[in-house]
This record gives sequence, C-alpha cells and structure tokens, in this order.
Amino acid sequence: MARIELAATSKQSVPSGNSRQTGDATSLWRWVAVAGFVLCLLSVPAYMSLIDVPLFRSTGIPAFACILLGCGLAFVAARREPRSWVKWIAGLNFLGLAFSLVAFFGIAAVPGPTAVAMELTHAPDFTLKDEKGQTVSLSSAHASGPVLLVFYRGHW
Amino acid sequence: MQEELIKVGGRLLAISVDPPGRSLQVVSRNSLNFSILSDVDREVIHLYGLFHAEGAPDGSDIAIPAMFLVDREGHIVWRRVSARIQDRVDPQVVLAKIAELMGR
Repeated sequence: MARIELAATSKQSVPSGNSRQTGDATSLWRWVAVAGFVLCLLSVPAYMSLIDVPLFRSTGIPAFACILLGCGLAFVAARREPRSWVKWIAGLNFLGLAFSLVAFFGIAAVPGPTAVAMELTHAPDFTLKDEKGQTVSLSSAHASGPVLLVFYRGHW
Repeated sequence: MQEELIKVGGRLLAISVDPPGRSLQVVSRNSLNFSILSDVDREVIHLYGLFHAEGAPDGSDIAIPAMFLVDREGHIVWRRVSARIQDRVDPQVVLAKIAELMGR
C-alpha cells in the first residue's frame, strides 16, 4: 500500500517538475520578446546619436540594425511562447520595421538632381528678403567674395 | 567651415521657402551668424531647378537640398545636389574648393 502511494506521489511530482521547467522557459521568452520591443524603440536614439557620421546618416544603419535585431528576437520568442501578447509584440515590431522603411526611403526621398540644377554654369541673380526683412541680392553678395548658397528644406 | 569662408571674404547665404518670421526663429534659436533668405514665391528654387512639388510633410512645395559655390563673377564653381534629405556634405570638401578658388 505504501509503495503504491509512493509511486502515485512520485508520478504526481514529475509533471509539476516539468511545468516548473516550462514555466521558466516561457518566462524567458517573454523577456526576449520585451527585449526585442525595447531594442526596436532604441533604434531612434541609436540613429540620433550617430547622426553626425555621414554614412550612418544617409543609410540609417544604426536604426535598422536595432529594428532588425529587435524583430528577430521578438519573432523567435513568439514562436516559442504561446501567449498572445508576445505575438502582438512581434507584430508591432514588424509594423515598426515597415514604417521605418517607408519613412526613411519613401517619405524622406527627394527627386534626384534635375538637369537644370546640374547644368547651370552661371548662378542666376535674384533678390530676396532675409529673416530681418532686409533685401539681399546675389550679385551684390558675390561681388565682394565667394558665396556659398545653401538651399535647405525649412519647415523644421 | 563658415569661418574659413568668412576669412577669405566669402559669405554663406541660406535659402528656404520659409517666410522671414520663421527664418528669424531658426536664426535666433540656433544662434546662426548667417542670413536666411525667404523664397516664399518659390521663384528662386525654380530658377535653380530645385523645385520639389509637395515635398514637405504638409504637402507644400519646397526645395531639393543643394549647395552652390559661386565665385565673384557669378560662376558656379562647385555644387552638391542631395539625393536624400539626410545627405550632408563634408565641410572639408567645400573648404578645399574655396581654397582652390582663392588660389586662382
């Protein structure tokens, strides 16, 4: 009788041992998913902190490295962890990746240099008002020295 | 870079389609010591072939970012037209060009 009870209790203890193990494993993947999400969010400060490096500025490598790594982590976690919020996080991360691609390569794109811009040999003269309301003409500006004319987007 | 330009008697002129009021904010907020010209009617960006229709996030027309180095006779001796708004030119490149110009 005692042996059967012992056998019964020992059988019972095995499944709980298993669920403790799987409990640890799933909570690990949850953290992996959260880490992936945080990494995706860090893509923006990563890009901004390296924005003075011309290569990183125009390719966006720091941001995309973070996002891709974050998506990868979340994807792996979503496959191993059955909870739905983990799958939501993975989905969010991929949405972030798609958005970043569109923003960086789509919205930020400019039409290429035009023929006019590339073939001008003489700088057409013009007269415009500066920020103080004073009139400035290009011809009078370059008469006293070289002028670096910088066209920028504005709307900051 | 602008200091070098000023040393050789040069000048930096920035142009955008922002109205003077907005440009004034930009100058004071960033303590800029160069002028920002207002091309509100988009005439000059058309003249220079830099018109980007509906290029701004709000749909308004703005300039393709570009730089032109103009000598005393008004000739364009160097230019850089950006392919993407994040493009920034290396100041050393411009400085070298200015030095070349002054060596003539």
